[in-house]
Amino acid sequence: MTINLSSYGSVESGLFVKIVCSKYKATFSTPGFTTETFLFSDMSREVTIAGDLYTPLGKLLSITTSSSELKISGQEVSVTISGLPDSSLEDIQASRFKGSSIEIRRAFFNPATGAFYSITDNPMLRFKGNITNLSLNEEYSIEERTSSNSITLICASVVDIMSKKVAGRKTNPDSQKFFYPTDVSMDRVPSLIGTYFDFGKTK
Amino acid sequence: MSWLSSIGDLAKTAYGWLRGDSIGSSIARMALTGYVLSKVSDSINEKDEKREGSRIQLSPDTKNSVPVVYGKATVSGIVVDAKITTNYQTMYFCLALSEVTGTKLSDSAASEFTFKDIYWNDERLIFKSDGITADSAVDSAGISNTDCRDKIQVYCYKNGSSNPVVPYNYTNASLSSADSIFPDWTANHAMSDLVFVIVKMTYDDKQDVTNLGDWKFVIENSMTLPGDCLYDYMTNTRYGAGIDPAEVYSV
Repeated sequence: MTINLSSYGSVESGLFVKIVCSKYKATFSTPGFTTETFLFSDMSREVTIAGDLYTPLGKLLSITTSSSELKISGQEVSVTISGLPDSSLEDIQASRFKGSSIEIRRAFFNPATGAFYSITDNPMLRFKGNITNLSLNEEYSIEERTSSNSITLICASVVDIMSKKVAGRKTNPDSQKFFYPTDVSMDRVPSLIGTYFDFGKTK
Repeated sequence: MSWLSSIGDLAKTAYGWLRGDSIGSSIARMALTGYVLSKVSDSINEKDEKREGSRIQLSPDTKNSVPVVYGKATVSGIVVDAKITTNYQTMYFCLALSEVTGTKLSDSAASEFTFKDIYWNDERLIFKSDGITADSAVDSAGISNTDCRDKIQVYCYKNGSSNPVVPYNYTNASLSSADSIFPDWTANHAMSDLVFVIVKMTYDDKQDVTNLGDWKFVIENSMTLPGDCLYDYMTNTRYGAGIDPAEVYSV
């Protein structure tokens, strides 16, 4: 998709990241997981897109570049958030961010008013995929005796994920019950393997 | 009891004649001996055949994937259950044929499966009026034989155990759910969203009904339009790509 900005004398753009983590825990001792949505941007002010309020991180958020291609191809993107306080590290490590969905949008604004430009596909979806890996880095300042933490999220696009996806129901109890928990139709398949039947035998 | 003594006298006379040296009595003795020997031989052979039967091993696999049929296709079926009766004379096989596909994008109607022809060992089965019991089989040359008559029953289900049907060109208003047919099945054997058959076979070595054989089922899905099929495969979360329908541009 293309956005025509030629009629605008000045343009401000921002990147907006939405992460939905279905296995979030605030602390290690929290009994169960919950679903949590994280919304942040590289803007310097709060922006609402489709009812979601994005927290401005400014320069603390960096996202690797992505390229626009004629043919759809899988691209890996890294999202780095710097300046994490030590108090945030526990929930990052207690939660399971791997596998969480991530969407990155770019929006174009009028720099004078801060309003969205009223053009089709603004804001536009730049990347959609899942977090495949994450890393935590600490920079410790000996003089100040403080540490600064950053998290890097490695994300694979849906194209990459679908190219490796294997779907379909298998003829075994686990697969059947994954889709239909009370259906026992395939419970005997494992026991039938290697079983002989003496069809027609007389006692 | 004069009649009893008469029979006794007759028996003594016959016995005495048989033991005699005449040509007639010799021939009679030979014929009688031959007849007895043939009966003993038949009895021995019969006992040997019944004892053996056919040792069958099926090919189910926990890694087999259930196929997805769009349009019309011929499938062999995947064994998901089998049972033999306690007298070893009857076997039941459950063969999964296809996933039940979703709603058509073009007209929002549910996809429907129909059973067309059914082949056993490359011969097309002709059923009796009930659409279940085999009456004869026709080979590729058009030659018919009745070897399978009453020995094979095929129960077809188009969408789970509660949706029995008969092949096209047959009608039967009193069909039973699968758990009434397959031994030891309960209501929990739902075969959810599956097109499948239950084959019941009665052993008969003289008619060569001795194992499951090679089955082919021609089934037809009402979902035939390319757009419908692509959309279904892209969005279905069970056997397809699982893409959110909101992200598919469909017109």
